[in-house]
Amino acid sequence: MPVKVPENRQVSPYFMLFIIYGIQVGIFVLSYERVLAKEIGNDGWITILISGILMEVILWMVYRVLEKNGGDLIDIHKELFGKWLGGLFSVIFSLYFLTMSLVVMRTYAEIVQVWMFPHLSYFAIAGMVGGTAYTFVSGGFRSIMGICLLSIVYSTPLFISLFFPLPYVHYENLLPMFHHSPLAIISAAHQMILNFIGFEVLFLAYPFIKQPKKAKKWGYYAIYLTTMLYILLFIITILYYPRRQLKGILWPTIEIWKIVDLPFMERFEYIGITIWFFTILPNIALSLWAASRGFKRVFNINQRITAILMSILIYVIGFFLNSRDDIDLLNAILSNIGFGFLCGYVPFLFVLQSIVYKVKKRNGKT
Amino acid sequence: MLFRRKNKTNNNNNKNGHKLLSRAERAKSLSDFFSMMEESKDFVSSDHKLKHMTVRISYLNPMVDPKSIRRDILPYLISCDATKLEDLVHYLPFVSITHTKDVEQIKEKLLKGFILIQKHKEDPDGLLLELTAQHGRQVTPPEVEFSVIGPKTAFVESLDTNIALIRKLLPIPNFKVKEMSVGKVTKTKVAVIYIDGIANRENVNTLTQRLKDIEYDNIIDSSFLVQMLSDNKHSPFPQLVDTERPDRVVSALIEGKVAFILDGSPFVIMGPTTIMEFFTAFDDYALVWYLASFFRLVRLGSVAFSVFATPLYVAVLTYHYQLIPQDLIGTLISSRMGVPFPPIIEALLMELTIEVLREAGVRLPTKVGQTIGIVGGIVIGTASVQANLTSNVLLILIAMAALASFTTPNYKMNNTVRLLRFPFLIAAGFFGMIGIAAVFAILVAHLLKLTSLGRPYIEPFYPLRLSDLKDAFVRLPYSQQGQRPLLQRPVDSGRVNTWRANFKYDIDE
Repeated sequence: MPVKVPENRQVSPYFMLFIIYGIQVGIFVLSYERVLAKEIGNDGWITILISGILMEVILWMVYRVLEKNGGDLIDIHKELFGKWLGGLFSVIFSLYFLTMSLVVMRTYAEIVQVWMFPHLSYFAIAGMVGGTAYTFVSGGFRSIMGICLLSIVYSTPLFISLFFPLPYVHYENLLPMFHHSPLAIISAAHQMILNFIGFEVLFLAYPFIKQPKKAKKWGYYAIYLTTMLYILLFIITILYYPRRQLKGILWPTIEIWKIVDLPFMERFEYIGITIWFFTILPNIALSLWAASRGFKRVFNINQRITAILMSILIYVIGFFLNSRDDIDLLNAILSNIGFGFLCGYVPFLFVLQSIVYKVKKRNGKT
Repeated sequence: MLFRRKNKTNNNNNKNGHKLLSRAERAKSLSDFFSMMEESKDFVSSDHKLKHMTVRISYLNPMVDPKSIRRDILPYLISCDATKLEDLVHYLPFVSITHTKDVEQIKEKLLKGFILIQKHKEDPDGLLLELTAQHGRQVTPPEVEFSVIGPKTAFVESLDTNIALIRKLLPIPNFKVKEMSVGKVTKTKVAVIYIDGIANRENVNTLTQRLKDIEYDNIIDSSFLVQMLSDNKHSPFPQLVDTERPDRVVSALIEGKVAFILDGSPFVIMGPTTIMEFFTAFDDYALVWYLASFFRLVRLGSVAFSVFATPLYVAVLTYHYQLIPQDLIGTLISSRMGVPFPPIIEALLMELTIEVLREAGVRLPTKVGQTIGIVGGIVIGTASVQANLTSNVLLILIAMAALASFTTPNYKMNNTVRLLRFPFLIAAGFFGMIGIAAVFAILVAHLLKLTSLGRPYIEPFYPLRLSDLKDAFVRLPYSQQGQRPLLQRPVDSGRVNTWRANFKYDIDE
């Protein structure tokens, strides 16, 4: 019996766009240019394009898997693997989202510490971020959708910052094009995954969308939009910085903000990091929601309590990850898990489900 | 749920201190009631001899108009030939005369200024005539929601006058008035008004149900009711609009809103509403659309300014002085030189001073109020800068923020804006701009959860309804306002025949 969500908790179809955009664009947008430049240099935009296309395909698979079942991932797991094994997989899935919120929160706290408040403790920053995220989670899915929508509105002023480097760009930085082997380009897609993970939240959020058939196109638009955003940002960065320099910059996007020169204000990155608070909020809130929702669906326990416990848990774990290496390692782990989940597990689920349904159909006929 | 009636507690109410009331309620017969009333000096009950019978007239002296007893009742009674009480009806110049034996009804009506005519004091029945004296004031121009253009009428304390003011603008049979009474002791009359066929039944039922469920003894003003009716009773944001302008109520009713009027309160309460509605003024509809939109944007901008100006000052000067351009930093340093406090203390001091000034200005009589403004604004301001207690720049910011907050047309929202800056200020003092962002995010989370009569409070933005944005930040021309706002879920959504309204003749036709 697939899960049913009451209609007053559901959102309109176009919110599919905001779910995916809200959870994809986050903390890693500040740093992905460096990783990509290190591996592939100025051909990085091709990698982004390829990973974007790959994500569209995976999104299609996610839709198919969900549509066939009609419920959420917990229903699918139960159907395919039974109660115990399916439940275990669902718990792992929830923990994956918990890790995601931990990584985002820890990385943002680090950025705030490095750029704005060198002496402010992790507890104060993370407490603020986590507490704020929890207020949204406690308001339920519709509340989180609200911040997804508003975060886009609030972060639009940041697009202005992309015009400021334009007078200083070197177009020859893009050349020579296509001088990397196709294999290298594709394998670098692995590095882009952190910017695309998160939309598997649909596995839990799908029943919350009214007329999901109508919503599908918005999902494709969302990935198209984020891909274009990443390409634009990457090209501007690569045009501004020589590749050798870009490799050594930890957060190239923040460095781009530094170029902004306004008559009434200097050091635009302070504003940028503050506004970025609203961009990571949907990230943390949605992944925290997904993690606690997964536990609620598997164990049938109060989501409010789980959400509080989970926020305290990531708050405390974050404290022990206090060096740059730890955070890098954390990012790498999440990147690997995310890659494995999206490019391995989702296709596997897709194939397995179609086989199971075919077998069932045949058995039903005979 | 203090104010909501629960069936369980209903029976226990008489025990809980309503002894006086319970005695009155126990007065089952008319003579019991009379003996209770005779303890009050203002109760008059006297016999009059007519041609063929005697009658006893009882009333509460201050509540009725003594002139009309002398003019409209006694002459007719004395000259009539009736022998029975029922026949008196034909002689008295009144449209509605009730002949009743119902003790409850007699009790209620007598206390509200009706007079009772009986044959004998001991009779169980009598005639009830309304002779209520009108003590209310005249209709005056609006004082709280002032507008430069537009009608200059405001509601008064009398329910009937208020309904008349609305009916004059709404001459249609669909305009419905549902009356009931609230308040255990005050028994205040309250009327729910709406337009049948436009207003959603669900909204009407929600409001009526909530009014019926109110359990409180003392309802003097509609602002009491607003707090009891609101969806979230602890939110600083008003969730129902109050207005003193009949024109505003009428246009809200036509949009499909539901309103209620409380007897004795010059403010009519309307709902469901959105946050944007608290920042709209009548003048927005009286000017050309782009002028109106510009001034509305100015108003919204000044609200944002008044909330964020001082917190940003504190955040920037305490933590992010790198943000300040080179040319400006000289001004700031020279103005803050010698100020012994950190910016947060400085700002809190000045904000509190302004709040004190404002509060004093509101409480004092108008003539003294102006003096307070001068003393506060000029004397304290200049003196505190000269005494090096505060910086010039902060003083300018605070004064401008105070000025900007007054652009909010609604008094309740104005108070909310006044309070809102303090959490921002404190967060800015501790965590700089990140603190401001966090408090803002929590505020957004709160607003996202708020509802007004069950409808989302920040509606045109979330849930995003593009068609309702035509009257939010900007007010589009009337030709674009062909549809009623979706928020109220009106039964009939079209204001006009859009095709006919937008029809344009071709050149030379």
